Parts: sequence; C-alpha cells; structure tokens
Amino acid sequence: MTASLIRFSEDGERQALALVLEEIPPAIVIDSGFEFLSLLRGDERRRIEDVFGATDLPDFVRKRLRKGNEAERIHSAEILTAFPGTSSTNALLEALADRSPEVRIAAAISLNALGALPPLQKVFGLIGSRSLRSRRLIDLFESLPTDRRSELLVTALKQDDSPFARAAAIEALSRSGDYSFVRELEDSAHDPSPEVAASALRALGRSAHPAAAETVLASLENPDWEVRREAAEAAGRIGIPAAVEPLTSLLGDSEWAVRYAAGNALKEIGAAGMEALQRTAMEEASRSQRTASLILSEGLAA
Amino acid sequence: MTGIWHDLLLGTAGVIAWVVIVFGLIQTIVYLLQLVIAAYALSKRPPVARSSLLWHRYSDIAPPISLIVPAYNEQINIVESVHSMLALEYPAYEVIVVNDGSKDETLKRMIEAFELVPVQRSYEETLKHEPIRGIYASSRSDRLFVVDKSNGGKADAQNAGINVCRAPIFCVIDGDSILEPDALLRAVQPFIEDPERTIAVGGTIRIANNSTIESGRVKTIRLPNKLLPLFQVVEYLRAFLMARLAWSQSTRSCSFPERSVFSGGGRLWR
Repeated sequence: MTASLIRFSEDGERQALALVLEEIPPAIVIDSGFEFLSLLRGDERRRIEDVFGATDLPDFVRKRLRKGNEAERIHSAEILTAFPGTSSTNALLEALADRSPEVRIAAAISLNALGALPPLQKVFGLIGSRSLRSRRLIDLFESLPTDRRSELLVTALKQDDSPFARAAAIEALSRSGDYSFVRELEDSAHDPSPEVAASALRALGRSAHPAAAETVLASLENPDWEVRREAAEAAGRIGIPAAVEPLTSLLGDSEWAVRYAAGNALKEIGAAGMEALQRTAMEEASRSQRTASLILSEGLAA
Repeated sequence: MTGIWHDLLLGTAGVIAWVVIVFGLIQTIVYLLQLVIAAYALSKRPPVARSSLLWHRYSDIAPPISLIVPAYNEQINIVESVHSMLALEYPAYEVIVVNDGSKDETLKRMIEAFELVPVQRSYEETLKHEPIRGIYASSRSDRLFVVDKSNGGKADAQNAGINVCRAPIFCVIDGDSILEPDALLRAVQPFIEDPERTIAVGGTIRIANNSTIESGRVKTIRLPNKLLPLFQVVEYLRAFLMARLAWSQSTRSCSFPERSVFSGGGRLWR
C-alpha cells in the first residue's frame, strides 16, 4: 500500500494506483493510506486525495462515521475533510449529534475545515455541555477563519456559556494577534469566573498592549490566586512600571505560583523591577525575601 | 487440665479456620466482582488509536508533563532508562531524576552521560522531604533535570520531585521502568477530553523480565523463565487490568480535595 503511494507520488499514474486500491480492503486503505497522507502537504497530497475520492472510500468512511466504534468514528470524522462535498458535510452535521462527545467535537473541527461549520452558538447547542469541556475546543476555535472571530468574541463575553468555552474563546482570540479585541477582553478580566478572568489576563499579557495596564494592575489584588498569577505574568510581559510596588508585595503571597510569577515579572520589567528584587533580597528573612533571593539566583549555579 | 487446654486449642483453631475461610471467601467474591466490573469497563472502552493519529490530534493542545524518576542505587540502568525517557513522543515534557542519596555511582554516571551542570532552580517546599544537595541541568537536553538529595526513601524522593517540577501534570516512574514511546500521549487523553473532572489516570505496568530490550525499548516480549516472576506477571495483570479498572469504574463519582497527593508509580496526576 505505502509502496504504491510512494510510486504514485513519483510517477503520477492514477490508473495504477486505483487498481491497487481496488485490491486492498478499505479499512486498510484508511489506516495506512491516511497515515501516509498525514506526511504530505499541498499538490502532492491533493493528487492522492483525488484518487481516493474517485473510489468507494468516501462512502465507506461516511458509513463508518455512523456505524463504527468510537475510535473509528472519530477517525472517520477527521478524514472526511479529504472528501469535500455535500454528502460529507451532511454526514458530519449528523455526527454533531453523535452519542460520543469526542466524535461530536471531531465532527465540528472537520466541518470548520470544510468551511461548513454552522454558527458557533448553534454548534454549542448541538454538541452539548460535555464537549464544551474538551481541550479540543481550543483547536476548533483557533482554526476558525478570520471573518468568524466576532463569533468567538460573542462566546467570550456571553455570561451563560460554560467558563471553559469562554476561556478557550479568549485564548483563541489572543492567539489571533488582533489588537481590536483588547478593550473587550479587559471587561472579561473582571469576570466573576476565575477561569475566564485568568484567560483574559493571559490574553492581555500576550497582546503586550499598554492600554491594558490599569486592568492588569487592578487584577493583582484579585482574591483568586490563579487570576493574581496571570495578572503578575501580564504585568511583566507588558512591562508596567507602576506594577513594581504591587508585584513586590506579591513576593510574599500565600501561593508559590503567584510569588514566582511576581518575581519573574519584576525581572522582566527592567531596572526598576530588578532594583526592587535586590532590595527585597537584602531585607530580613521573610517569605518575600526568600522568593526574591531564589529568583535572583536562578540559572547556572556559581 | 490437659482437656481444658485441648478444648481451648481446638476452639482457637476452629475460630482461626473460620476467619481464614470467611476472609478467603470474601476476597474471592471481591475478586470475582472486580473481574465482572473490569470486563464491563473494558467492553465500554474505545479501541486505542494509533500513536501517529494521537500526535496529529493532540500535539498542539497537550498540557506539559513532568516525569519524576526517583532513583536509588540505579547505576546499572539509569543512563539507558533516562535515554528512553528523553525519546518519548510527547510535545512538552521534562524529566526530573531524583537521586535519593544513592551509595553507588548513579549520579556520577548521569553527570558524565548527560553532561550535567549545577543550576539554581526556584522551588517551594510544599511537601516535606530530606534536604536537596543540588540540582543539575543537562547541556545535551533542555528536558532533563537531576535533583541530588539525601536519602529519605522513594516517597521522600517523589515529594522532592513534585516540589521541583513545574508542569501542571506529573508522572512518577521508577528508574528501572520503561515507558512505551507513546505512553504519555495515550495517558494524557482524559486530561484533554475532560480536564475539569480528571485528576489522575493510571497505566498498565507489565513485567519485562526475559523480554528483549534495545535502546530503552521493548523489542520482543517473552514470559519470565522463573516461577516467582511468573506469579508476579499474574499478580500484575490482576492488579492493573482487573482491580484498578474495577475500582476506577466503581468510584467514578468520588471527588478528592484539589491538592490530594497519592503514592505510586506509572500514573499521571494533576
């Protein structure tokens, strides 16, 4: 099988490959053929997909998407992107109601790849709350086309959506590199859900936009330690000079992760931050002093 | 007088016999129940996808993992074990070998093999353990750290590793164990599919005595030649494939405090 595919990629003989494919059970073509395809990109990949598409394989994959075991259904949903068209789209839309949450989310990702994903809020209703807890949601959100980012923003700001889904939407927005969402994400940094607030602060830090300084400073005092940690990291990334004092206070925070983030943020801020770290390290023994001392000594041992 | 002692002895022996019989029966019933529950759990479990598929599916979203390896007098195989751990198929992981005050050349051999240099790495002593004498990083691999500490036992070494590690998920594995190349990718699946409700997952541990191992990977699987290791194979199958699956199925709705720490190896914890 693999040898035939390699030969085809060299000589481009469609007929010869089609004859080989006829002899091999479709389940094997799907397993080893698509493993080989995952190594290819561009025209070479498309040529092989075309040959696969001209056989009975697409029908077999669509049937397996309905009747296979869970692993087969997930794999079928993933490889249907190689066979675009109404039949595949309909099969994937049907799979959004599959009994397995992982199949549902795989179908949504494939529909998105085919440019046929229904509106996000409708998809959420179809795939259900269990799928909205999967980290694969991040994959789905990050692969949404640019013109659908406003839907992500709606998800991020919608209070009654699951915090995990909202946090994933914020994460995807922040990775898009689009600064126009900074203002909206500032509101999310004050969200009552720590998961959403922490994600918004991570996004603000990633944007490194100075306009977020006030929000980040306010979040350094948040009662939730994960929010404080993200705020400290964001303060370092943005390089907020006004954060030196509150970050120095956070060197004595009750949570190690917050203290560590505050120490590194002070380092990132530059001269003023380093000065504060060195001053704290010279003080009497305390939690803050120990943190500052550890942060300053990190790296190659003397 | 002899008659009284005779009756007493007979009575005691009778009680002990009944205790043994009753507990034996209870144990057998529990094992049978576990077998049924484990069979049900296995029948519901989807077939495992191939590792290339898992990589394609999860590599971008897989959370970082710290592999903690307590090592005590492991000079014979520690270098090969670490080599195999550094060759695992997983996008983001660190290997933290904790030399638990070994009396042999465990540390020296690692320093030579991986060109270790002393480093300062900040950590919090959240869990108590014997003092750390030094932390080393490898010039040959960014993934490898070695913690050298005074001897305190395996659990103590695990605690030190947990304190020093920085990934949100950790896995404790013995220094003489070998992981399948895609083991982390498979084990992390529940953390990806349901991160909010997953706090720990377990793997299956097998006995590799008499199997052929090359470059830290099992090439040919064979049963041990000796009787005791053969019993151990059966016991491991019972413990990992039957008991754990059954308890896991029976306690799915149990909740644990956020900072629970459990002992044991070959599992991933958050």
